[in-house]
Amino acid sequence: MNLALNIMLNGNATALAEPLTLSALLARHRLKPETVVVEYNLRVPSKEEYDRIEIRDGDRIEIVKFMGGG
Amino acid sequence: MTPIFSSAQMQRYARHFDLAGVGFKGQVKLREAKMLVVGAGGLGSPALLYLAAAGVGTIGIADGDTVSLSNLQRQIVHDTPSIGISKTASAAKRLKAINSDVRVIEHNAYLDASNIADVFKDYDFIVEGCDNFATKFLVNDACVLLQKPFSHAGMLRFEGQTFTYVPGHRCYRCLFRAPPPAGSVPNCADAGILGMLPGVLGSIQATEAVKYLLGLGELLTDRLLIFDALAMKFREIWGGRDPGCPVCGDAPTITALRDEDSGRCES
Repeated sequence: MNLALNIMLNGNATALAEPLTLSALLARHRLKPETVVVEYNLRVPSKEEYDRIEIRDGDRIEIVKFMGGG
Repeated sequence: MTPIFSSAQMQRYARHFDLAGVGFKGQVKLREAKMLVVGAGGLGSPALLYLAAAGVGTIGIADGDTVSLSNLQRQIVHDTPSIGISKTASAAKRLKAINSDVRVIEHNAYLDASNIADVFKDYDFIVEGCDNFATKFLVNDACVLLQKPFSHAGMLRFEGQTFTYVPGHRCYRCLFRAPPPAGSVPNCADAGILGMLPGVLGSIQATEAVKYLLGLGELLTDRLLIFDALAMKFREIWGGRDPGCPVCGDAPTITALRDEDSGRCES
């Protein structure tokens, strides 16, 4: 039985071996939540939701960094 | 009848006159346009240079800073003799040397909630090239509240992002709700920045400004373009106006301009 979750992450097809929350996904990528925003299936969840949202098969996730330089 | 363009101008803008989509009418529109560039720094430099070269009739420059040596690695509108003078004066001098047709308006001041609306009011399009989150959010809010189109861009190390706001479409706060906590995002002086990076992004911003003015092509509306210089790849994130956005949403909580308190990404 294939347990992998297939998602689109930052435009790339990605397989996750186990379910993760958005928080855990950021941690895995060594990203501090306050330095990014996440677009989750075209929605922009609040930071408070990151712990509660569990990634599912077929999800489309974009992690966008804050960039303040000019 | 006085010719609309002198013979020197006919030569100067020949490549525009011959370009389908611009032409004589487009060049007249460029001359009648008033564009403001906020920040005569990394992003502002190429934007200003190209807008002046293109013959935009009125170009405003808003910056309260003076030119320093570490700017010259990437802020290509300035030069060594300009160190110590105001960025607006330095940039104005360069723009007029490129194209004396251009009327340059210097707004030698930092923008804040008290002056931004007054500075913005007469311009058709704004290019945002600020070096700190507080001003980036302020410019966004001002453009939403004043219903002015603008080009946003931001950069960090080897990456950058840009999109174009047109009233009714996604604004900066739709995606980036509020500035990150002070100190959480690396400061440009700490993290560094590849000198050419603003050249790419600022040129894209000037392109969007002219496309908006002339009604050409597809703008970066509802589309955040992200550039990775190391991989030399662009990717796009699509997303429209968020009805829950605090400034451009259906029930906005930001209805007046205010100064955000946030960390500065020092240029």
